[in-house]
Amino acid sequence: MSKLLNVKDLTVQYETDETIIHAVNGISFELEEGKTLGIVGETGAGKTTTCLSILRLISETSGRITGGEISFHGEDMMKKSELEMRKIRGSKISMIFQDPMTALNPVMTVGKQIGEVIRKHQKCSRLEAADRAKEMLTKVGIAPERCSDYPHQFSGGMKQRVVIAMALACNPSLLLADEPTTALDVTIQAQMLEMIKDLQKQCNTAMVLITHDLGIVAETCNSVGIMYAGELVEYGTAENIFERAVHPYTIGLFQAIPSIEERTARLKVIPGLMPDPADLPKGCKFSPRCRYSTRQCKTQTPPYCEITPGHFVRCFCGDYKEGE
Amino acid sequence: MRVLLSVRNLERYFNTSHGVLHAVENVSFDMEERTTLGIVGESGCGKSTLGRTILGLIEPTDGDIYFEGKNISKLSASERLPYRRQMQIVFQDPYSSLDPRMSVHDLIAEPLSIAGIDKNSADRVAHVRKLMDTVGLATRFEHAYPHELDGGRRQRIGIARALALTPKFIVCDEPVSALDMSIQAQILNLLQDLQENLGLTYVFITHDLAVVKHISDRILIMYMGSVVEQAPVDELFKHPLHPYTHGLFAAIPVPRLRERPQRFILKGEVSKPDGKPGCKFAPRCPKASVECFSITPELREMGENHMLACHHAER
Amino acid sequence: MIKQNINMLSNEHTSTRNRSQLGEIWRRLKKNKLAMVSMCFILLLGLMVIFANVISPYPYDKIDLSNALQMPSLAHLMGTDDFGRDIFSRILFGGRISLLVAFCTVLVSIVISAVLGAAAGYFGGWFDSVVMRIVDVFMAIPGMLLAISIAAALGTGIVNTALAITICNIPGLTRIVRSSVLLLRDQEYIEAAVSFGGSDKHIIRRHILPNTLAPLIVQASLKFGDAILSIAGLSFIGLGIEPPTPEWGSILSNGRELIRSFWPIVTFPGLMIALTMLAFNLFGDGLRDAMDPRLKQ
Repeated sequence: MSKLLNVKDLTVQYETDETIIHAVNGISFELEEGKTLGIVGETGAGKTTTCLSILRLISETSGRITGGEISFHGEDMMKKSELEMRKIRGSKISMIFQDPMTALNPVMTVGKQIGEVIRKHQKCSRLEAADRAKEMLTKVGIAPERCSDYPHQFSGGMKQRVVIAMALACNPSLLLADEPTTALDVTIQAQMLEMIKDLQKQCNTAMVLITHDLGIVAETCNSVGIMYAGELVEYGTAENIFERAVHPYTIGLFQAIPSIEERTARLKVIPGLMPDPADLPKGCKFSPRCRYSTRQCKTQTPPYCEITPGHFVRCFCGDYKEGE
Repeated sequence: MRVLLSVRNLERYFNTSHGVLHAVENVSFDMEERTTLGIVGESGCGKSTLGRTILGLIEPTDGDIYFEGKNISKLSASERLPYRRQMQIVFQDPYSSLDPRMSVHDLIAEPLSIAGIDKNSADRVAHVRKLMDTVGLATRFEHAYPHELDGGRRQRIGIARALALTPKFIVCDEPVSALDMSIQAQILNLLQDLQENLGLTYVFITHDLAVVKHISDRILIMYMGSVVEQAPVDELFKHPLHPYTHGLFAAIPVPRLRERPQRFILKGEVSKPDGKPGCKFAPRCPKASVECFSITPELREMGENHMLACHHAER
Repeated sequence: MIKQNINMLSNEHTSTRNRSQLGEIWRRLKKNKLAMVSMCFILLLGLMVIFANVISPYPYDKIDLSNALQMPSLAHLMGTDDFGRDIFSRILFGGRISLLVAFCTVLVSIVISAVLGAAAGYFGGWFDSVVMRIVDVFMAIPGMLLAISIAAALGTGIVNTALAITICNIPGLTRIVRSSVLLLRDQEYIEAAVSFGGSDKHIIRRHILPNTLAPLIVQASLKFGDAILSIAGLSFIGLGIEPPTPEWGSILSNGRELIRSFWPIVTFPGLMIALTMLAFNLFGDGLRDAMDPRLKQ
């Protein structure tokens, strides 16, 4: 399987009047066609910034990609002009966001909005686009007659379906999904994930799924990257992360989730907070909160090592046992 | 333990342009001191409305609320004031529940100043510091503003503020839903510690079953304004009876790769509760029969303090 | 148990920048060069008119017909008018009147609008309807026309002019306050205040008014400029401040016949009106940007 997406040492910064915010600090990952990569992390870890960088939407928000490479289908994305990027956005790479309420234009019918995407990237008449739009609505489980309804006439879950229809209308090979189900009820979330998985299979679309919910990751992802303070602290197949997690932050995340199966008296907490991206600590960024941190951790940046084929960890490995 | 709060046949309707919205319909339960009642449901189930109605922030359309044996729903606003002080609320959104123009000290001191507690400002400052200490907020944040702090700390301010009047009862309306996972765990632990040390009674409203399992003693499952199932927490998770409860449990993505539970996906969506007879869940229910669409199921005792509103109940 | 929690949590190394909101606003304002220049102009103007009797080289009503209609020179920085009075002195003293009246009208209208708008927005119901309908009626009439009608009804003079302009400002400001309040009323922190027994008075005083202050202050600044223009306009058509009291609009009015032959008499007061209005507008814009909560962290 060829590598669809290859990101190497991506570094992104935002500049404000007073400081530089180091949003993403040298992350690398790859994705094959049709597969799903989950990026897990908490607020401020840099997950959304990573996705926006892939689509080169970062300059919209006073940020800059200051380093690294992004290649898609073997082509260097950094070298593309804005015009070329516009041709890619929506047709080869699509993105869906967390909040379905604000992703849709309230004064256009949903049919028109989906049709607009289609007409932008494919040469077809208005009628053909309208038919395709109806097809997409059916695919996402909405009655095609509703193509002349306005967004406010749909519930949250249905709005998100429309957003997905828009994103997949031109059959992109990569879908970037930024917490697509976080704002939805849990039963609707289950429906949505099922549907996304089906559509992915149908069109062989690869997906980068950003989430903070490890349960969703277990449901949908082939490979997982755990982000902390702009870095990938652990990266590997889903199996590696769920069964052989090694980084103390990853382990801490698993322990902090209340389990639906067993009842524990107290949750094991990761003390403290994620560091301010404008003021990152020296050495390992997780060291202030890490139980196992040593002097080395606080002064030197830990290397990104491949502990087993395909399983990477950014840690001074070896001072502790796996899974402890 | 004695019963602190009793709710009987509580109803809250709203008159809208599309007809009457039955936000809360016929809810009854009892709460013992020092326990936590988890109220679980998805959007539109009325759980937030229920929480606010219990506190009197929204007036009930019908029904009674008894606090320490006294019927507080029939009192006038001024008679109700001392009870209001014993019942407080922690909100979901740590951003919009704090006035952005007030410092941490002012926010926590506000209930104290309204109630006229503390004789002078020195006492007040000490009192506020003690509350900050109780919730784990470092004193150096005394003069900070909400926008300078993260979600977890803001939520601690909300909790400190709720504790200011030494309430006996606190409604926690999705207090950790807006927080990151590791912060969620910190706040949940804090709430548990406070319950133990201060003898608090909680109503914990959430949509997250794992969280509610962790913190509750008893759980109420709500759907479109009505209670569909009610049971002690272990009993509910061992023997969920209502098809909606099954759907909820099945919908939760489990963070594990092996031994994944059977998943069945509930189809359809919630609609607006309009008060027509029949089980509200029938349109989505895999077990629905003719009588489900015409006769509203009553909440019945199924043994082990487990209540269920369903025509197809079997243990 | 709790103590353990706290010790663990005290290991925060995130620093707090204990900046007050006011400090933030000032910092943002400083970056806006136009706003800062305008602010300096306003301060300078203010100082000059306050110390008019010290700075002004001549008394404003000293008539000297032999020196009439002199062009600007070192002796008379802005020239003299048709009565030989020094224009610069008249502008300085006239500025006192303009700025004083503008200040009073803005202050009074802000206070009244704040109370009316907050009450209408917070309590709603019949009070809101009544107030809003009255506001609608007033706002249906073009501003200047309204000012002229009221001034004509009340008569000339400083107090009547101030009253006319105040009445004209109140409806618009009330509406602005009311919209702010309607948005605020649904915020959860208002609910929180209710839950610990806060009275309506407490909530309006402690939560609603401070949070509506921002748009109100911006409006105040913009209205100041408007007021200057209105006063000048009314005086120009003879309804505001009457001569011989100097006022920029009436000085302008005086020079109407001399526009073609003697430019200083219309240019300088006109320039002062225009510059002052511009300064207040730019400053008001700058304030609005600086106070915009969306620019906050």
